Amino acid sequence: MNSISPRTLRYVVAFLFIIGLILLSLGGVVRPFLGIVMDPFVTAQRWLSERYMAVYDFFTLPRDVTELLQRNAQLENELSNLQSQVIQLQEQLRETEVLYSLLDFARSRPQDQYIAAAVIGKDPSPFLHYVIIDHGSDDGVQHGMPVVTQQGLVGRVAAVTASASRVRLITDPESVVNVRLQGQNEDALAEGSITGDVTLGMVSQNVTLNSGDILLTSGLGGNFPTDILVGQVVNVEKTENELFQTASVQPVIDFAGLRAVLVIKNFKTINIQPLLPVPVQ
Amino acid sequence: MISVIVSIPIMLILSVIQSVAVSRVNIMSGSADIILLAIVSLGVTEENRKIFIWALVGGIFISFISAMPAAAVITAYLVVAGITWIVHKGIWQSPILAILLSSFIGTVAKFIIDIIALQFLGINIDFPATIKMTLAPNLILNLFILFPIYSIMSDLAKWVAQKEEYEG
Repeated sequence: MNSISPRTLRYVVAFLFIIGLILLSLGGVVRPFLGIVMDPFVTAQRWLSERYMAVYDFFTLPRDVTELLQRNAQLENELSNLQSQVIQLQEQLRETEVLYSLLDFARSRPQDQYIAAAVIGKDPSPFLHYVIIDHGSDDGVQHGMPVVTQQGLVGRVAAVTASASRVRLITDPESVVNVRLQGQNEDALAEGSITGDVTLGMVSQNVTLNSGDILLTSGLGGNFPTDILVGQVVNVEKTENELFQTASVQPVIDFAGLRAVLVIKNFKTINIQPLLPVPVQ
Repeated sequence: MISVIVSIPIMLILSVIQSVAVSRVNIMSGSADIILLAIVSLGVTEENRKIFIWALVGGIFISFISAMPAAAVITAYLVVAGITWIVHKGIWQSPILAILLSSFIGTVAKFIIDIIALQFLGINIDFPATIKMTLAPNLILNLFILFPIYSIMSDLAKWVAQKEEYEG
């Protein structure tokens, strides 16, 4: 009996106590007691932590805000730079698309030689329909040359300077284009007006004119090459007691959005004025 | 003298803006006329006494760009300057009322001169349609941008007047 010292006995008791506690905790018996003991500590720690973080934020956050503001400004700068680049690229893309389609058109008519030009302005007068292009006599542009796009007929060069030209659109009141109806052997005149509307005139009453009929240049008068698309018949006005029927024409070109054009440089306009009969006095 | 010198670059810039941008903004067939509005705006300021020179310079530049006969363009702007002068000196001293009235009468007067010029050119005009499609939108668009132009031109007139007093 004397061989077990009191110290060893204390160790054994303590070991058994600990084992007992572990077993009790595994069985879930100790948890309520632990909760009662630990809850005040947890509450105190939470309170202390919140106060500490508030103080920490007080000293550190303003610096972070400044940094964030700087970073934000930097990113906004980058964003605006990128946005302007995107706009520039979109603009270039649109221009490239226009040039590609003009190139396609030029390839489809190999007999013609073209000068590509950008539209840089519009006639300030609301009554006249002219555009200004950035190529002039230095580039080989001459008065009377026909102007087209990949979509169809634009007009003809009306005035030329060394570096720019003025093009009379087919919607101009002074513009008269000899046209023919596609699929029919009938000639007519497409005339512009002050309001920019194009009217088809000089169409015989015998001709069957329908909305949607396509108009092409006929080449008569020697002002334009043949078979260039001009527009489409929209409204037909046929009055029995009139000599000719008329119709509104929807030009194929959106003149408001005209950006680039092709000047046909190998087309020679013919002045037929001397050949016209002179009325006898 | 400074007023005359300044009128050249200012009217040149306005003519380019007119051709490149303003003429492309249309309501029906009408568009605003910033040269006309600049003349009207200058005409109602006390500082500028050379409004006819500005009108002449503006008319010359526009006649370079436009297919309208130069005489018609220049005459139209000189008439607008005259109307503004009469309205401001004789009818309304208040600049705001004077520019509203002057721009309205000036737009109508310029329209009539343009129509007469087109008649001389032998162009057929459907008068009622032209009033509806051109004159009415012109008046509306001019009214829209009248006050921004006025604020810029009145500042410019003051600056020119200060320079002229300093030189004189």
